[in-house]
Amino acid sequence: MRWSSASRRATRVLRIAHLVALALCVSTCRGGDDAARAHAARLTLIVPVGVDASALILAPEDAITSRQVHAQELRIALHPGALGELSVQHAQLCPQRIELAGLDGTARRVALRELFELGDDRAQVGFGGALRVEVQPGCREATAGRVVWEQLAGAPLVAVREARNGFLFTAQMPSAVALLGAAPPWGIVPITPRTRGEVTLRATLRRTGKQDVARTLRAAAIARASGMPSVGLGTQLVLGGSGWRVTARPNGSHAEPQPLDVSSGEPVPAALLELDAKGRFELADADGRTLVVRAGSHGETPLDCGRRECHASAATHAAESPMTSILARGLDGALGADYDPRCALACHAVGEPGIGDGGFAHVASELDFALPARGAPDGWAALPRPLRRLGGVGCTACHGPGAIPEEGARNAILAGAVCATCHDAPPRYGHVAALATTAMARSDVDPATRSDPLCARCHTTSAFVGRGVPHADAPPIGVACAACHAPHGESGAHLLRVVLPPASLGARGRALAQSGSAICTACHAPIDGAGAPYASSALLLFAESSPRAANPHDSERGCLACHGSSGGRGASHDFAATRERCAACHDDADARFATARVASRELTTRAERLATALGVRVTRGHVSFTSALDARDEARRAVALVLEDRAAGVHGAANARALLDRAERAIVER
Amino acid sequence: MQRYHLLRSLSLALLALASACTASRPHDDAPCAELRTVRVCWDERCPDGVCVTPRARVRAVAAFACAGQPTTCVQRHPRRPDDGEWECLDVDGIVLCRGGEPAAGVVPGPPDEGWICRGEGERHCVDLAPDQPDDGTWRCHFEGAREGARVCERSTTAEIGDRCVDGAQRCPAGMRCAARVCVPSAAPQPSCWVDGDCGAGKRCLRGTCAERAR
Repeated sequence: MRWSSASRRATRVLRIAHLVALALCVSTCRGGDDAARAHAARLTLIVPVGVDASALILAPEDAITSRQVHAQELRIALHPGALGELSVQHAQLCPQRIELAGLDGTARRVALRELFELGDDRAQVGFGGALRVEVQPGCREATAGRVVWEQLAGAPLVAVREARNGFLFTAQMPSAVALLGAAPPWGIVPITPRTRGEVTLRATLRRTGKQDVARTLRAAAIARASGMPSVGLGTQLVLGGSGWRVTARPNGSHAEPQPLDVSSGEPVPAALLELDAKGRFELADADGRTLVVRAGSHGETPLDCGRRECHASAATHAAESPMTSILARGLDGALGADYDPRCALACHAVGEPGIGDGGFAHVASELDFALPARGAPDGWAALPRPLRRLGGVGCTACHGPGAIPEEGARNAILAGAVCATCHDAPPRYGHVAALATTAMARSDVDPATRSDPLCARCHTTSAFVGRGVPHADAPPIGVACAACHAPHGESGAHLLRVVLPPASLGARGRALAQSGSAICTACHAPIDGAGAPYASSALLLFAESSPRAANPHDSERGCLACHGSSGGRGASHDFAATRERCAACHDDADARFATARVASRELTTRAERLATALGVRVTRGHVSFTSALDARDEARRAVALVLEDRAAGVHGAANARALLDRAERAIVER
Repeated sequence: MQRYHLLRSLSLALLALASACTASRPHDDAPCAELRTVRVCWDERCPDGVCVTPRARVRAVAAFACAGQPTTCVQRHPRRPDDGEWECLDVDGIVLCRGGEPAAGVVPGPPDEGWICRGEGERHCVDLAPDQPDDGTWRCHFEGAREGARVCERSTTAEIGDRCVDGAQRCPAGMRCAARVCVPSAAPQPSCWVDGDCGAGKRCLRGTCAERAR
């Protein structure tokens, strides 16, 4: 039997249809776009962070059909069949020549190298330590020139030497005495950006006929330390005191205290201890005083602090805190085009860059992840999960990654030294330095102020924030940042704690509740039912009996109108009402300043005379009554209010005079 | 006979055309999961209830550092379902995690792709295609259930997503060999960590409560 030619053709057509259908099936499953693009060669050029990929110069241009920039990548499509070499040039990068033959139908990625590198920032070179920086040329073209060094920031380095046309730079870091003084405090010595001896260096490669290329490097004598006994793995701690030894250590540790500074002849009573393993270190000094320090990795620390049975409230509030979200906002572009996440990392993420502490910079290097030079939409979402957990000022940034400290050491979290790891960097961040000049910073030096609950309430940070009198072993920390600011973000502006002004301030106090001055009134207005009225400035200033118009210093901003209105970047944290601050409102500030002083002195003198008659004494800076309260209470109270305010002439001269008039009448009537 | 050939070719062509669109394709709402090299869907329309197709897109693998002989590879930062707090373990080639409470002081980002999660409050999640150092057969475990590293060693036992040959290299219990890959017999419904989470007569098999084998 033979097929007719017509039916053969029909069968052939159907078989072709069958094959076409199969091909359709396969392409549906596998995605059929590849075939269409089979011959277009694609080349992706990857530039280092900080280099603008769109500025790459490619030649020959006619080999390229399209180019697109995606973050640190330049994606180009090449003409099918393009031959020869593609030359890639950029002033900051090593030139590259890419063979085009054989690229057809492929997608190739080429990482371009920096012209030269200086290596990672150096976090702990050592006090008086030798800083040695070798310039690493990325290619032969980088070796031709000369490297010129400049110090951009930090105390001047000593013994600076350059060799091999500047490709080798050596210098000596500042000494321990220069940075910490001759007698650091006992125990873990807090180290701040100001006291770590950080320097910023710029190396510029100069080549004949070529554009200069510069790189910067930061180096510090020592890592920052908050004084908390919970510390990042690999951190070197400065231990104030003599004769330190390790009495117990975690497995794998060989840590031994080392001399703090071998460069100078000046002995400093302190030692250096590198925490070389995760776990608990027990230390003792020559007098047998002991210290427990725990070392840990930030990245491995569980962040389940917010469990219902633990710190749920703190965790809830922290989620809204601007400190928590600072890096997220920066990476998403919400902090402006000038925000460079790479520069902000030391304070806008967890951990110390340059140390293997499991912090952000360390984990980023483990993941080979480079932060972008500026924010962009979805920048935060693009971070790998391990980095998102370390981005922002998270729990371990302040509390440390080690573990919960011993009971006697828990007061350390309230110390200004914790905030100082970032906020002590004048002139950019002068908060801690300014606060250190105030009487508040020394408010608990007298041990009695730390043990008596009535005194501790305003003289210690611990009692002020409701944690009771400090532990007997806790060193004085004064009224620290944490007294007024709630870092977990319980409130709004400036993270100030929400405080309801005392009832003694009446309606005016309630009106102040929303202002930044409310926090001051917690201690600078008499407490109801506390006997003698300690600290009365707010009462004289905001007294209900005095119409506001009669006291021009009673402004909407309250205390901060004069005690913190100027000096940005934290300088106003000295809270001093200086002549300069008066001059913001008064053209004749000098005269008014002098007049107010005289008025205050006159009021104090008059009050002291009345105090003797009424049995009111001033001891250790505060009033006390010599006998039980009696019918003269109001008179005594009036005198005490004026005595408690050494600036009564400014805060409320008319109110103070009225109070003293009342006290005098009471004496006469008696 | 001519008519027979004509009809046969016609029916084949029609079948191929039809299969291009529908055959072996699960319903759009069928549960699916990505394994290492394949995508698996569980649906009655699939042969033996399981459709296996090549995986469209493979996730980038977080880095492993390998050393030693026999080779041990360490993944310092293994995946988790999202930015929350998780406790995870490797079972038969899958990663099972429980927890998920928000991490304190962390601005959460998008969840990791590829996890199957269930539950509210404490959640259970499984990743059927956990990262591996290479395409070989590996057995992995977490060093410390929380933020610890994941350590992998070469293995000869087929696990989920590994190649298998029926009768020669068998798949673990609760899995079947489909398209020469070990795939779960049923869609995972992560809801347990230990047998005690499943109630009487059941056991926790890779995060899913299953009837005990008799």
